[in-house]
Amino acid sequence: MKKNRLIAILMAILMVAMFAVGCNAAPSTGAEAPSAGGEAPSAGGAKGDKVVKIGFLAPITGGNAAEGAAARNAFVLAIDQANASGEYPYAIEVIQIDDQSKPEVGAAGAQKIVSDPDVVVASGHWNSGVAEATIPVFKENEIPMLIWGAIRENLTSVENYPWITRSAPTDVQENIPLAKAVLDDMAYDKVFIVSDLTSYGEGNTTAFTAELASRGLTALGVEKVQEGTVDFRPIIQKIKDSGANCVYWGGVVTEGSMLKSQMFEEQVDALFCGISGNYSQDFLKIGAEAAEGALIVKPGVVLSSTPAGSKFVADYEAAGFSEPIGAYTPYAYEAALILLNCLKQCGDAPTPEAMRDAIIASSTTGIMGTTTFNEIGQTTNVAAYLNVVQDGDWAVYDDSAYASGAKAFPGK
Amino acid sequence: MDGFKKSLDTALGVILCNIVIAVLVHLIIVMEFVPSMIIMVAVVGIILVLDRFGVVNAMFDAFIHHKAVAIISGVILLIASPISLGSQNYAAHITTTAIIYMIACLGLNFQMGSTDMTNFAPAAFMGVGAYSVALCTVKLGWSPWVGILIGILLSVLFGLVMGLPTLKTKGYYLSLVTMAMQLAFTQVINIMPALGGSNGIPGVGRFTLFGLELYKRYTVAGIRFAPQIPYMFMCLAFLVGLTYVAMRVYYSKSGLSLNTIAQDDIAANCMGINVSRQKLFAFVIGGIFCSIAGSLFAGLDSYVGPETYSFSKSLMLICMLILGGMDNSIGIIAGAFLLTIISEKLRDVADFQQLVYGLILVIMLIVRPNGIIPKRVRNYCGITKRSVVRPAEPQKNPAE
Amino acid sequence: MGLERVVNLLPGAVMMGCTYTLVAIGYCLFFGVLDVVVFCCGDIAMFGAFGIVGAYTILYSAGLIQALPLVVMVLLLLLIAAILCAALGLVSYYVSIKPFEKSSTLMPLLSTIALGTVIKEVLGLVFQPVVNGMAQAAINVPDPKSVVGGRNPQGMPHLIAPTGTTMERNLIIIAIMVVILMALFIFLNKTKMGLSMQAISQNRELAFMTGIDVKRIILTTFLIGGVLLSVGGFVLGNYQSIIRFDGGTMYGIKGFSAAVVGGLKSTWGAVIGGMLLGFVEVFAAGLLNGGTQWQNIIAFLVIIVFIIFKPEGIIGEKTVEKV
Repeated sequence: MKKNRLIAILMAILMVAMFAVGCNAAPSTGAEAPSAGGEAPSAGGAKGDKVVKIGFLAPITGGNAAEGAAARNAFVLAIDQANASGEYPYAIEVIQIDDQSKPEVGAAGAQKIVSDPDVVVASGHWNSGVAEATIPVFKENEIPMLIWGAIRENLTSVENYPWITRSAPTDVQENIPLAKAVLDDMAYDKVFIVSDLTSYGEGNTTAFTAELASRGLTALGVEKVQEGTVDFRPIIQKIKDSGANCVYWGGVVTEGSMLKSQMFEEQVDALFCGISGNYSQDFLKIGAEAAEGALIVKPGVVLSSTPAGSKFVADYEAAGFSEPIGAYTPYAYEAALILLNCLKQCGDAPTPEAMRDAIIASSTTGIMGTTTFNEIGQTTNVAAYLNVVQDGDWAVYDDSAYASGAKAFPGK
Repeated sequence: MDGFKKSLDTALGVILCNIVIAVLVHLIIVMEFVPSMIIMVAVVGIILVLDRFGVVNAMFDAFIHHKAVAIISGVILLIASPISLGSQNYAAHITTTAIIYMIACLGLNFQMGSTDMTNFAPAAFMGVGAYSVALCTVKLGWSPWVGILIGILLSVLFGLVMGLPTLKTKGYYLSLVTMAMQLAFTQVINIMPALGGSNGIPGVGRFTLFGLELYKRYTVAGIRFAPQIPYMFMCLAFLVGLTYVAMRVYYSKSGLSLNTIAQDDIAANCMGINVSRQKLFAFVIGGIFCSIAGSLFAGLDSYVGPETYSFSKSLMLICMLILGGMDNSIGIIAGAFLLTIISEKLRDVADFQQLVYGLILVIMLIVRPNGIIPKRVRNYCGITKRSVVRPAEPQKNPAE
Repeated sequence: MGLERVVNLLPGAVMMGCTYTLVAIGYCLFFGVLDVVVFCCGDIAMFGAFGIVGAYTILYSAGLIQALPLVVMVLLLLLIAAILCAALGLVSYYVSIKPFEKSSTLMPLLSTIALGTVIKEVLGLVFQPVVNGMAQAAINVPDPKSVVGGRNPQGMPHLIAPTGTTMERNLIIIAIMVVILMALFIFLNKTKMGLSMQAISQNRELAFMTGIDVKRIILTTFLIGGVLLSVGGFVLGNYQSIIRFDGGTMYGIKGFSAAVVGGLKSTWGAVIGGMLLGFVEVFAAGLLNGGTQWQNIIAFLVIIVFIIFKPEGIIGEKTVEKV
C-alpha cells in the first residue's frame, strides 16, 4: 500500500509538472503571437477604454494545428497593425477560440464568443464540419461570421445568408483550375482518385469527379482511406493494374505525402496531383526525394507578385512566428482586412447588425485583389495557381522547370 | 466530528447541505479557469477528507432520514440553478453538456459499475440516439420526440446485438468485442452517405414541447435568458427521472443480481439468477440511457458527426465513471460534472487534455479505485424507513 | 489480373502480418505469465520507434552516425531503444499491473489503457516542432527548415537496407522476424527461465511452491517483452518510413486482436493471428473495388466473429471454468 502511495505521489508530481510546462508553453505561444488581449488596450488606452471584440475560431491544437495556428497569427497580426495605426476610435480585441477540429468543441467555443456582449463579428474555421456545428449558434445569436478557410460548398447558402459569408473559395472553385491544367492543358485522361474519409476528402472527390464527367471522362477507380492510414501499397497495386497515368489525391498532407512516397518506392509512372491541403513543408520533409514532381493547386495569388502581398510576407516573417505561412494563412489575413474595412464603415459604435450589412455590401482590396460578396455571401474573388515540388522545395508552376520543359511529369 | 454529523442529521442541516452544494456547483461553472480549478480541487479534497471521517455517509443517511425536506429543497434549487445562469450562454451550454454526459454515464454504469462488464462502446450507443433524432428530423421531417423513441428502440436492438457476445465470452474478450464495435460504428457511419458520411448531418431539429420551443431566447422579467435555459430544464427533467430509474434498479432484485454476477457469475447462476437475461438487461437498459443522452446531445448542438461519437468519447465517459465512483448514482453524476468542466476549462491548453485524462485515470485507479464518492453498503431499510444500521452508533445502543 | 494481383499483394500482406505479430507476441508473453492484458503494448512499441529517432538525432548532431558503419549504428540504436522499452515495461508493471494484482480483471486493463494514453501524449508533447525539426533535419534534409507546428508525424531514418530495393528491405524484415521467433522459441523451451515462465503460466501457486522465484520471472518477462516491442517499433517504423505519436493505439488494438484470434496464450497462435489479420486487411483493400474504406471494418468483423464462435482462438485449448 505504501508503495502504491509513492507511485501515486510521483504521478501527481508529474501531472503538476506537466501543468506547469503547459502554463509556461501557453503564454509563450501567446507571446509569439502578438497577444491582442494584453497589448491592444495599452495601444488604445488614450482613446478611452472602449473595446470592440472579434471572435476568431481555428484549430490551434490537434491534427490541423499547423494551418490553424498560422492563420491565427496572421489574423491577430492584421488586428494589431490596425490597433497600432490609430485609425479606430476604440481598441479591437480578438477572442481566440481553439476548436481542435472537433465540432462539439467548436460549438462550445462559439457559445463563449456570442455570450460576450462586446462581440460584433466573428471569423472562423478551417474544418467544414466544425463550421456546420457553429453556424446555427451564430445565426441564433445574430452575430455575423466570415468564414476564412472552410471550403465545403454548402456552407454559404440562401438559408445562411446574410449572417454567414465566406472570403475563401469553395472546394468546387478550387478544383476547377486543377482540372483545367491537368485534364485540358496536360491532357491526362486516365485518372485514379484516392481520398481520405473526411468531409474534406469527400468534397474534393465529388468536385473532381464532376470535373471529369464534364469532360466525358470517368475515374478508373475511387479509393477512400481512413484518416491515419499508413499503408497505401494495396491501393498502389490497384493503381498500377488500372494503368492510370494520373493520381488525384483528395486529402491532406500527412497521408498525401505518404501516398506519394510509397508511389515513388513502388515506381508508379503517374502524375501526383492534389489540392491545397497538401501545400505544406511537411509534404517536403516526409516525402524527401519522393516528393519531386507533385502538382498542387493553391488558392489565392502569388503573394510576391503584388506589393501588398510582399508586405504581408515580410511582416509575417518579421514577427518571428514559429509556424510558416500555410495555404490559407493569407486568407485569414484577408478576412481580418475585410472585417477591419467593415468596422471602419460602421463608425464609432459598430453593432452586429451594422457589421452584417457592411460585410455583404463591402468591397475590400486586400493582399489578393478585391473581395466582394455575391447573393449568397460567397466571395467573387476567386483565384488559384499551381505549385510543383522541384528539387526539394515548392515552386510556382509557371516559373518552374516543368513549365519550361526542362523537366517532365511522369505518366507521359 | 460526531456533533457535526448529528447537526447534519436535521432538516436544517439537509437544506444547508443542498444550498452549499448548489452554490459550489454554480461557482465552478461560472468562474474563470484558475479560481474554478482551485474551488474544484478544494471541493474534491474536502470530500476525500470528510469521507475518511464518515461524514459523506452521514450526509447520505441524513438525506434519507429527511427525505421530504431534501427532495423539496433539492427541486427548488434545481429549478433555481438554470435561472441563476441568466444570460450566460456559454455557462448554460457547458452545464447542459455536463447533464447529458451524466445521463450517459448512468447508463454505462449498468454494465461497468454494476455488472463488471467492460463496455468500450457507450459513445456508439449515444451515436445511435443522436443519429435517430438527426435522421428523423432532417430526412423525414418528423418530430425529434419520435426520434428519441426510435433511438430507444434501435439502442435496445443494438444492446441485444452487443450483449449477445457477453453470453459466450467475458473479461478481455468482451472488452475487445465492444472496442471493435465502437471502432466499426464510427467507420461505418463515415462511409455511409445515407447517414451523412463524414460530413455529418447539420440542422437537426430542435425539441418543442406542446408548441413551446425549448431552444430559444426568452425574455422573462426583463432578463434575456440564454437560449439553452429551457433546454437545460428538459435535460434536468430527464436526468432526475433517469436517476430515479437507475436508483430503483440498483435497489431492486435486478440490481442485486447484477452485483452478484459481478462478484461471481457461476455462484450467481447456482443461486438461480438467470445470468444471460440479466447481462442482456444490463446492456439494454444502459443502451437506452446512452441513447437518450445522445438524442439530447443532437438537439443541443443541432449537428451530428461521426467524430463526436468516437472511441475517445467512450474513453472519456469511462474516465468520468471511474473518477466519480462506480455503482453510485451520486458519484457518477459528480464525476461526469467534474470532468466535463475540467475539459472545458482546459480549452486553452488543449494539447494537454488527453494527458490530463490519462493521468487522472492512472492516479485514481491507484489511489482510490472506487472513485471520489464510492458505492455505499446497500441499506434496504433506509429506503422506506429510518435506518436500523447506524455504523457510528453501536456503542450507544445500551443507552437507548 | 486476379492471380497476378494476389501475387503482387503478397509481400505487403506478409509485412503487415509481421508488424502485427510482433505486438501480438508481446501480448501473449504478458498474458501467459500474469493473466492480464497489458494494453499499452502498441504505445510501448511506438515509444521504441520514437526513441530510435531521438537517439539518431542526438548521435547525428554529435557526428557519430556519420562515423560509424551502418550495422554498428543500427545495433547501437536498437540497443538504446531496447533499454528504453524495457524500462518502460518495468514502469508499466509497477504503475498499472502490480497495484491491481488482487482486484478484478477490469482494473489492469483500464490502467494500462490510461498509461498508454499518458505515453502517447508525452510522446506527442516531447516531439514538438523543435525536436521534430532537428530529427527531420538529421534524417532528410541537410539544412533545417522552419518546421510546421503541432504534432506532425515523424520521419523514420531508413536503417534497414537504406540503399537497397523494397524487396531487399522486406526480406531483411522477415529475416529479423524469423530470428526473433526462433530465439523466443528456444528461450521458452530450452532455458530454465523460459521453462519457469511456462510453469507460472500454467499454475502460479504450484510454480511458487516448486521454488521458482515468481517475482523475478515476472520482471524478466516485462524486460523481454519491452525488448521485443522495441524491435516491433523499429520494424514498423522502417516499413512505413513514418511514425505517428498516436499510431500506437490502433497498432495495439490490432495486435491484441491478432493475439486473441490466435489464442491468447500461444506464441505460434500470435504468429498465425497476426498473419491472418494482415492478410485480411491487405486483401480486402487490394481485391475489392473501393475496398479500402471497408478494410478496417472487415478486420473488426473477423475479430468479432472469431470471439463469438471460437473465443479460445485458433491455437488454444478450451478452458473449462473451475469453481
